[in-house]
Amino acid sequence: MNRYNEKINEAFRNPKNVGSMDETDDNVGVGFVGSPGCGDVLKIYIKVDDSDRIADVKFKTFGCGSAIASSSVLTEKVMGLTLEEAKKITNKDIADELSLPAIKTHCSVLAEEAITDAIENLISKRLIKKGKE
Amino acid sequence: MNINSEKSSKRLAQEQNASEQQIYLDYSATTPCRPEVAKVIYDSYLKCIGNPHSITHQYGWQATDSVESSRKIIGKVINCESKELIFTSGATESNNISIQGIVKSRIENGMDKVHIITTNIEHKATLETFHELDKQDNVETTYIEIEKNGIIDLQKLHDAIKENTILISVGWVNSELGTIQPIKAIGEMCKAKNVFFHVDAAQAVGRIKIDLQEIYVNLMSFSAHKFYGPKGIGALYIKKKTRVSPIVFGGRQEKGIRSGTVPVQLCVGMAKAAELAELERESEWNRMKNLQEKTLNKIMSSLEDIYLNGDSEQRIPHNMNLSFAHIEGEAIMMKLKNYAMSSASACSSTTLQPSYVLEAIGVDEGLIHTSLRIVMGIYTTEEDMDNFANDAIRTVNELREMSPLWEMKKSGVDLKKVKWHSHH
Repeated sequence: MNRYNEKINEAFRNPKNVGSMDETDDNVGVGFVGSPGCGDVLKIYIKVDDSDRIADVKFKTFGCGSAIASSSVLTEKVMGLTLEEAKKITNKDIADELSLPAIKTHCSVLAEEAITDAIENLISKRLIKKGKE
Repeated sequence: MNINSEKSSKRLAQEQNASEQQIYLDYSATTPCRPEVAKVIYDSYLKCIGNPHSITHQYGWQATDSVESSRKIIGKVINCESKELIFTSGATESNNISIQGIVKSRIENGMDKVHIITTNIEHKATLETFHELDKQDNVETTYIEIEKNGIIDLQKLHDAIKENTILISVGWVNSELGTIQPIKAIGEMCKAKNVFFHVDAAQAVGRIKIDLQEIYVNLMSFSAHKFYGPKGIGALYIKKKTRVSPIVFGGRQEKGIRSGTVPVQLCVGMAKAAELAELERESEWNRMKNLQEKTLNKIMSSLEDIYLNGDSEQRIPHNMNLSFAHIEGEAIMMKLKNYAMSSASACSSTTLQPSYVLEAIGVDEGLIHTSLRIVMGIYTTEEDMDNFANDAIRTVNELREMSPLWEMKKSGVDLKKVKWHSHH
C-alpha cells in the first residue's frame, strides 16, 4: 500500500456515485476503459437530460486506491455539466484535485479516457438511432 | 518495549493489539526482533567492547569468545560444525559470496566456461547475481521454469545439467509463495553429478527442519531478521572442502572469505534467535497449520473466486498467498488498513511491475493484480486471524460491489473473451 495523502484516502474510502445504469437507455452513455491485465478497469455511466446536461453519473472500478479515488472525483466533476463542458475535463484536473503522486498519474488518465469514451458512446448511440429512423 | 519482560512474546502481542498499530502479517518481509534477543544484544553491547580481531588483549579475546560461542549455537541448530559457518551481513551477501565465489574459484582453477543453474522464482539476491554474471563471457546461466504449483520439476533440473555445470542454486522456501522445494532430492542429484549446491534458506529457519547431516548441500544462506533476530547479520554454511573465492577483500576475517569486523552483538543476537526459533519450530508449525486452515476455510466458504497461489501441501503454513479475483490488491490493503501485508499487484510497487514470481508460475495476468501475501508468525494470535478473516470477507464484498469485472462475471460474461481497450 502506498502512503497516500488524506484526500486520496478519503475519496477511496467514501467514494461518490458508485453503481451502474441501464445501458439500453437512449440517454445513457457508457465509458469502458482499461484491462484486468493492466490492473485497472473503469466503467462510467452518464445520463443526460433534455438539454444534454449530465443529470446522473455512476461508476464501477477495478483498480488500486488511486484509480477508485480518481473515478469518484471524475463523477463529482462531471455531474451537472453539459456534454461540451464535460469533454473539457482533463486528467490534470483530477490529478490536481487529489494531489496524485506522479507514479499514479495513469489513474487520472484512465478517468479522462473513460468520460471521453462515455460521451462518444452516447453520441454514436444517437447517430445509430437517427440512422434507423 | 520493555526488554526485561519475561513473558515478552505475549506482551508484545498485547501491546500491538492495544494500540492503534496495524496487525503485522508480513513475516516473510521481516520479523520483529524478539525482546529476549534484544536483551542479549543490549547486554553484550554493555559488557563486550572489543573487536574479535584484536588478539593482543582481553577485550578482543572476550569478543572472540562471544562470536565463537554464537557460531557454535547456530551450528548446533542446523547440525553442522561451527567452523563450517561464517558470519555475513545477511542472506543477500551470503548468496553473492556463494554464487560469485564458486564461479570465481572454478575460473581461477582453469575452467574456460562455467555453467550455473537457478530457477525463475528465486529471490532477487540470487537472480540479480546471476544476471550480473551473465554479462561475463565465461559464464553461462540457466533459469529453470518452476511449475504452476510453485515447485521445481526435478526432471527439468536434471536435464539442464551439462558437462560444465558447476553450481545449482535453489531457495528452500520461496518468500512470496511459501512453497518448499525438494532440497534433499536436489542435493542427491548434485552429489551424483558432482555439482556444487547452494541453498538460500533465509525463509526456512524456525519454519522447517534444517539438518545439514541429512541433506547434501555445499552452501547455505541464512538471515537473522527472518527468524526474530537482528537486522544486518546473516551466515553462510560452507561445507568442508567446498572452495569459495572471496569477493570482498580486507582484514581476512571469517577465513578470508568475508573480510570486515564481525559484529559481535549481532552474532550473539542471531544465535539466541536461532536457538529460540528452533525450540518453537514444531509447535509453531502446528499452530500455524491450524490458523491457516481456519482462516482459509472461513474466507473460502464465504467468498467465491479466491485462489491460493503455490502448492497447498508443499508449503509453509505461515504463508497464504491469495488472489481475490475481480478486485485489486492495493485497494484491498487500503480497506484492510489495520493489517500490515504486502501485495503482488503492480500498483503497490514502486516500479509498477507486478510480481515476477506469480508471473513465473503462470498465474493469470489479471489475477496477479488481485493478490495479497499474508504471512503469520509467532506473535499472530487466533483472534488476529479471526478478525482478519471477517474483515477480509467484508472488504472483498464491498470492493466487488464496486468492481465492473465482478458485475460482468455475475451477469455471465466470460471475462477471457472480452476485448479490452487499454493504452498502457
